[in-house]
Amino acid sequence: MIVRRHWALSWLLVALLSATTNSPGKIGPAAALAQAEEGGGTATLLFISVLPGHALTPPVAQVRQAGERALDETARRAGRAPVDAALVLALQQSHRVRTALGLTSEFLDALRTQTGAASVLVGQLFLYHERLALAARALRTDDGVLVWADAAETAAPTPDQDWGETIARLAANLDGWQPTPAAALRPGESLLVLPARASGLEPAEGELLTACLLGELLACGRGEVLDPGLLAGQLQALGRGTTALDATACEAIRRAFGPAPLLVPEIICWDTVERSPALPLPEERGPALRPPERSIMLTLRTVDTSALVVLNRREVYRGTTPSTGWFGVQRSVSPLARYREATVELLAQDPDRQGKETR
Amino acid sequence: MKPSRSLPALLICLALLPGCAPRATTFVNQNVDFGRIRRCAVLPMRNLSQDQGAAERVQSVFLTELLRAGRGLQIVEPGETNAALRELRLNTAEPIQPARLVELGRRLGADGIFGGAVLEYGVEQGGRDRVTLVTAEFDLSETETGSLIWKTEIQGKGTSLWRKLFGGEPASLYAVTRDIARQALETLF
Repeated sequence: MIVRRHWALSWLLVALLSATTNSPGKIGPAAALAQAEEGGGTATLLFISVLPGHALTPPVAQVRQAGERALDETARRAGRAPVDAALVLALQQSHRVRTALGLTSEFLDALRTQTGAASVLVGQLFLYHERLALAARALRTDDGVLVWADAAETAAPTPDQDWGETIARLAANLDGWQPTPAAALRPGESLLVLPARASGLEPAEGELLTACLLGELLACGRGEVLDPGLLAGQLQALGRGTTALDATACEAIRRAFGPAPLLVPEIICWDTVERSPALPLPEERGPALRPPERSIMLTLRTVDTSALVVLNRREVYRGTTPSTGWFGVQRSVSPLARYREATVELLAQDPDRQGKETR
Repeated sequence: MKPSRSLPALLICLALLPGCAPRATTFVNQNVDFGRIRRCAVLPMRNLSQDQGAAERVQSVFLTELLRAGRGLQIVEPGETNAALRELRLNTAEPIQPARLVELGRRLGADGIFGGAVLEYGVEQGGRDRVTLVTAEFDLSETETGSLIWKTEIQGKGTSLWRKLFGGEPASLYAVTRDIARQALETLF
């Protein structure tokens, strides 16, 4: 009789435990880990950047919904099932992940153990100069290594056009995300990349440059590229920004990610800014004043985090081109196309040779 | 000996082709063994021009050219240099005293410290002509005594006789800046 009571109590405890761990929308850590190891699901995250002087015509929630749908579809095309979005959002809020380059190791761990996501698909929608761009990247949740990155852009929809359809078309234009086989990534040759710093430009332009750079680094196959968000998160934990790359910051990076070379990208605006500019007349204010194209310089320096020295530095300059070409042909080069082209040139450059200017 | 017919054409070409090559005034301390300087830091440049971003741009280009020209020279990561400046409470808006340069050199483990200032930077309107103009000075101090061992003041213009005669856009500020940085470093290496 006593023995029977003990058995009953044990079954009750087991039933209670399983009820708490298998609550709806959340799978148990063991099951989540098993799913992650099997190549399980994908968590999708979407961020929206609207540059000053521009505005989204439809409500943000509507655009967000369309973007998330497009990302889920991209994940499905890659054979990955999107994990529970509500749970991902809850984790995003609890880990205070506010930007696309703000993913931390702890957040990735939480995603892996609590949702079973083996990878994260991060999308960024940019609205600027009447263009809409979508930059997306996928990374593994177990080590934060990037497996895919690409960006696409199109003309921003007019108020009467369907934003959802345009965003879906943008996502479809991304090079298909195929899970990169482990053999294609060269383990041991890892690259650490910091988010690009934008000087004299909007921070979103730095994010756009980072997206282009990551895509090109993966396309070059120069080794395993760690997500820049992890490095930024590591520096943030020290109470430092990505620009304060001193001995303490380098030591923290080296301890967390190893002695790999650190790539530091920057984008510097070369448009002249007077110290005391004349105030614009009222009729001159507004987006019309904003030039569609600016003179920019992209730089990429490689830092040895052990010796605290700059190993090499590459730079590419892009001046403005006249908006009207021969025979009155109107030219419009989008920022994404410029960054992408300049990034290709930057990475192809031999740092020991003379730099070149392209107008 | 009969002069070649192509000589006048060659002379005309020579007169038209070169742009306004940067003009430099340089001081080099000949009593210093430059071979001993292996590790250097580059300070943020002082900005005496009207353009807010001039110093950052010129310093950025100078750093790239320095890494290209100075074979074997180690350049301290600028983030570490800035941290040392903050730590020692040094103000780079004014020239740094030699004793403080010694202190800075010791803190960074640097044998030399590059500095400089942007004196003029922008586009000059001369009649119908628009001319890009950059004037800067660059210097190097050794960190044993903090004394100046190299200094050059250089001016570059983005115009040429060809442009003056036949018109066209002046060279970009980037091109002029890169040229002056290269010319300045040629007086050192």
